Amino acid sequence: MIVNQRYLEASVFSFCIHAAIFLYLYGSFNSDLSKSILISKPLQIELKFDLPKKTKKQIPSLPEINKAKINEPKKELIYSKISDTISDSSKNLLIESSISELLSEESEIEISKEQKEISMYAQQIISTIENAWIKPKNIPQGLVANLRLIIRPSGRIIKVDLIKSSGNIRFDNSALQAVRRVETFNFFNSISKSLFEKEFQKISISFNPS
Amino acid sequence: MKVNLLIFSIILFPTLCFGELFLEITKGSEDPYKVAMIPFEGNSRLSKELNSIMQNDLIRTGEFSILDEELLLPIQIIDDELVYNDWKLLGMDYLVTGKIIKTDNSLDINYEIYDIHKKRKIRSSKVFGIPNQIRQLAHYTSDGIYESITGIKGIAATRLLYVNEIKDSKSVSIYKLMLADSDGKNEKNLLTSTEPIISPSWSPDGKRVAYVSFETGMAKVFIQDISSGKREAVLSKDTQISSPSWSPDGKYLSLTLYQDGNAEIYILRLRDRTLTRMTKQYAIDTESSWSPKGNKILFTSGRSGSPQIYELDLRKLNPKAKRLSFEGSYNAKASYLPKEEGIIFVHRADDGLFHIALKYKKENFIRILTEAKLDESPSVAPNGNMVIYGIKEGDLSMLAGFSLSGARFKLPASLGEVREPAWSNFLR
Repeated sequence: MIVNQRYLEASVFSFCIHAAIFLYLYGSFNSDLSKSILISKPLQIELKFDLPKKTKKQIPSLPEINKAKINEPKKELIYSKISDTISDSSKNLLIESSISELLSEESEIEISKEQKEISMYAQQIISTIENAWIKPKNIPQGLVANLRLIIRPSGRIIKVDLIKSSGNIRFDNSALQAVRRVETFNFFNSISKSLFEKEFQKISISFNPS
Repeated sequence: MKVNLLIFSIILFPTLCFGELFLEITKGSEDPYKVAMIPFEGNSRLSKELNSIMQNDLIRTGEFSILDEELLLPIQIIDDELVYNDWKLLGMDYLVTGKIIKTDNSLDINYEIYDIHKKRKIRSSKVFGIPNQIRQLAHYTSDGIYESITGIKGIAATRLLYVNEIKDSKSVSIYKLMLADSDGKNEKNLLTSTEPIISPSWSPDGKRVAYVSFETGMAKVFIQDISSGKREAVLSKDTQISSPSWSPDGKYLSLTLYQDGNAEIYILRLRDRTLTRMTKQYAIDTESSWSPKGNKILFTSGRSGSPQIYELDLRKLNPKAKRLSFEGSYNAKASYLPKEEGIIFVHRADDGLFHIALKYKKENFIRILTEAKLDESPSVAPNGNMVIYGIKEGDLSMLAGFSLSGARFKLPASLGEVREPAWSNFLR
C-alpha cells in the first residue's frame, strides 16, 4: 500500500513537473504579440483580446510556402544533371513556386498591417482607460481584476462584466468605475467594420498594477 | 399636539447637548462616487434633518461627493421612466430619491437609487422607524445607499465607545465612559467615575461593554449591560486585570493578568469564569484582540526587547506565538481587518513619532496611514474601511478617523478630552 502510494505521489509529482516544463516551453514558443499586449506605463493595464481567428488564418498559408521551398531544390538537383531542356520545366516550376511565395508574402504583409492597426487601437483603448482609472489607496499589492467589455461600432461600451474579481471590492469597483467613466471610445469610428467585428466587439481587460 | 411637541424637541435636541461631539471633515478621497440626493418628500423639517445626517454619513466615508442642493434639477419622469440625461450632464453617477411616511407612532422611509450610467433603478427599499429615532432611521438609510453603490456594508448605524475626561474648576478629573452614534452624535453616558476608565471593548452583539476601571484603586475589568446599566467585575482576584477583548462568539474574554509577576494573556470563559493562561514569558504580554473568526489572537509582547506584535493560533495545542511586526522598535495595540487580510496597529516611526500603520498579511512592509504626532488606540470599523483613533492636538486628546480610501475626519469634543475609542460591530 505504502509503496503504491509513494509511486502514485512520485508519478503525480513528475507529471506536474513535466506539465510545467511543457507549458513553459509552449508559452515561450507561441508568444504572439497580438494575443496579449503588456504595457508598463505608470498604471499598467494589461489588455487581452479574444482572437481565435488570427491563428487559423496563418496556418493555411504556411504549408504552401513550405511545400514550394521543399520541392524546388529536389527537382533542380534531379533534372539539371540530365539535360538543359528538361531544366526549363524546372525553371517553370521555380517561377510558379516564387509566385505562390510572393502571394503568401503579400497576405503576410496584409496581416502585419492589420496587426499594426490592432495594436494601435489597443494602445488607444489602454491609454483611455488608464487616464480614467484612479487606483484606490491602501490596497494590498498583487491584485488583478479582469473585465469583459462589449462595445458597439460607435465605440460605446454597452456592457461591462467583472469576469475575475481581485478579491478586494474597492479594487474591483475602481476598475468598473474607470470603464463607466470612459463610456465611449471616441476613436472607434476610424476602425473598419470588418476589423471591428473581428477584434473589438468584445474585449477583455486586466487591471494589473504592480 | 403631541406630534408638534415631538418635532419641537427633535429640533431643540442638538443645541441642548453641550458635551456633544462635533464633526469636521478634513479630507476627501480622490475618486468619489458623485451622488445627487433629492430632499425626501414629506415633512420638510424632517426631510432637511434626514438629508443632512445622510449626507454627512456618506461624505465621511470619503467615497462619496454629494451634489450641492442649489444645483439639483427637478425630477422629470416621462412614460414612467426617469429622464437620466440631465443628471448625466451634471456628471452624476447616482440619484437618490425618497419619501417620508409619518403617522402618530411610526416614521418610515421609502427610497430609490438610480444608476445614471446604466439608466435604471438599482434599489427600492423601505426603512421602518419610530418618530423619535430619526437619526437611527437616517443612518440605516445611508447604509442602504452606501451598500447598494459600493457593495460594502455601511457603518453609519454602528456606534462608538470612548472615554471622556473632564476637569472641574479645582482641576480634579472626572472620567466618563461614553456611547455615541458613529457620527459622534446622540451621546450617552454609561459610567462616571473619579478614577480612570480605560480600554472599553464591545460585546459582539453590541449589548454589553467591558472596560477597565480603577475605582477600587487597582485595574479591574468590569462588564456592563448597556440598556440596564447593570455591571459586575469579571474576576474577584486580588491582582491587576486589564485589556479586555471579547471573542467574536461572545463566550470568552481575553485579558491581561499581572498575577505571575508580569503581564500575561489569559482567556476567560464567561459561562463559568474559568481562566486559561495563554502566554508564559518573562517579558510583558498584553493588549490582546481576537481574529474575526475567533481562532487567533493578536497581542503585544516585549519578548524581543522591544514591543512587537505577535499572533497565537488558538486551534493548536500549546501554540507558539508568531511574530508579525519587524519594522522599527515599537509596534503595539494591533487588531485584525475583518477579512484577516491584514492588521492595524500603532507604529513608532524613525522620527520617533507614533502613527497608525497597516500591514497586509502577504506583504513584508508596513504602510503608515496617519501623520499626527501621538496617534494611539486604533479601532477598526466592522466593514474594515474606517479606523478611529486617538490624537493629541496641543495638549488636548481627541478622536480622529480615516477611511482606507483616504478620507479623514476629526471628532473633537467640545468639553474635556476624549480618548480610547472602540468601534462596535454591525448592530441590528
